[in-house]
Amino acid sequence: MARVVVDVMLKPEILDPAGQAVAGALPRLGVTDVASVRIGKRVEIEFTGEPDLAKARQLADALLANPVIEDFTVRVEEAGRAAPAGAIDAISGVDPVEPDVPAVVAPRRLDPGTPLVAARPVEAAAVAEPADGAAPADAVPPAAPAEGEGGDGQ
Amino acid sequence: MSRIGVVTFPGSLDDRDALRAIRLSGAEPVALWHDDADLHGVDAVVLPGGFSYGDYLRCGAIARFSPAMLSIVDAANAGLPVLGICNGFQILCEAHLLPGALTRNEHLHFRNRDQWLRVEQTDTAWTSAYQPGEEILIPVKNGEGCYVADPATLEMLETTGRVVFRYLRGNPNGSQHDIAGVRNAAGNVVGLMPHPEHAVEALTGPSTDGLGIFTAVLAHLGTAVPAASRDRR
Repeated sequence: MARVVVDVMLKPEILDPAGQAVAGALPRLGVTDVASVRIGKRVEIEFTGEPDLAKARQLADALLANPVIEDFTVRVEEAGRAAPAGAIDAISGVDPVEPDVPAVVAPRRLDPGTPLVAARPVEAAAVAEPADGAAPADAVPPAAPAEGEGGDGQ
Repeated sequence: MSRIGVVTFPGSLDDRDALRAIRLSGAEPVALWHDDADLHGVDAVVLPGGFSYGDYLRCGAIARFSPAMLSIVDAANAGLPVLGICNGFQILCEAHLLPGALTRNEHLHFRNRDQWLRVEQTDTAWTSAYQPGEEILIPVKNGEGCYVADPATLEMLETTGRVVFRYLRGNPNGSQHDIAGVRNAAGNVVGLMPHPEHAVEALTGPSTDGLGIFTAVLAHLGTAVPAASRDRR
């Protein structure tokens, strides 16, 4: 059984205020060299038989993504070779050091040399297949800064 | 007497107020259920506010595929008047009955207040009770009410008179062009983020300006509007 992964991202021209809020919080972790953060969704589909990319793409277009505001990519991931449960921890990979840090401390600053996210297991490497017309993720320009503008009209 | 249906989805919030507004306007309210494809012969449909299916995935994305909505999409394409309020507007956009989409408020805050609107178009099934350019005061309350569309769609909406309501004196959510509501080309389908059903009585609303939405559809359906509802101010 294999897994189809659908990644859904807001189109580059659509404002992502939640991503901006995350970007705004990064300096509290001592990270000051991030130009922009954008947040998307990852959907994992387990077919009972062979993974059906065409069907997954139809699902993504009809339901999982709203093509008015979102782009998506569809790919097959070899689930059989990835550890089913533990893999999540490895991927999300929050720095596991300092387990005895007191609960209430000043904002923890990351060592500049510490990777924020652990490398993905090589076994789980996937073949990306972009949807029709979808721009590659690295082509997304940074969002225009909108902090302090517009919005609250009260 | 005209019969106007209100669809209740799991997570609908304002279905009762919508049914009540319909009754106050002089029509017979009919409760419809999301899992029932039968529209029970209603003359018009209101999709109420709330959080259908928990707003999971995207607001309105799952409601769009409910049995009731599949029937409503067909009926709307055949001319049935359909009004979407707040979550109902989101559902209409997801169902592609209306263009554009509603996204997270630009400032990320849930915004709940009385809101001035300008009625830009009165030649729809739902807005003929107003004067062109009339300013009305009705509540707005949403977290994902920021109307967006691509530049070509916005241009089309503006040049073809399909922006029905526009925010006045402050845009509560960052909507492009201050758009609060839009219509389809035929004018039988209208969606708006603010809540006319919460402005139908002096006791509970900031005005009775919302009643005109519901009396307008009765006029559209050819029903005589009761005298009690005609003088809504």
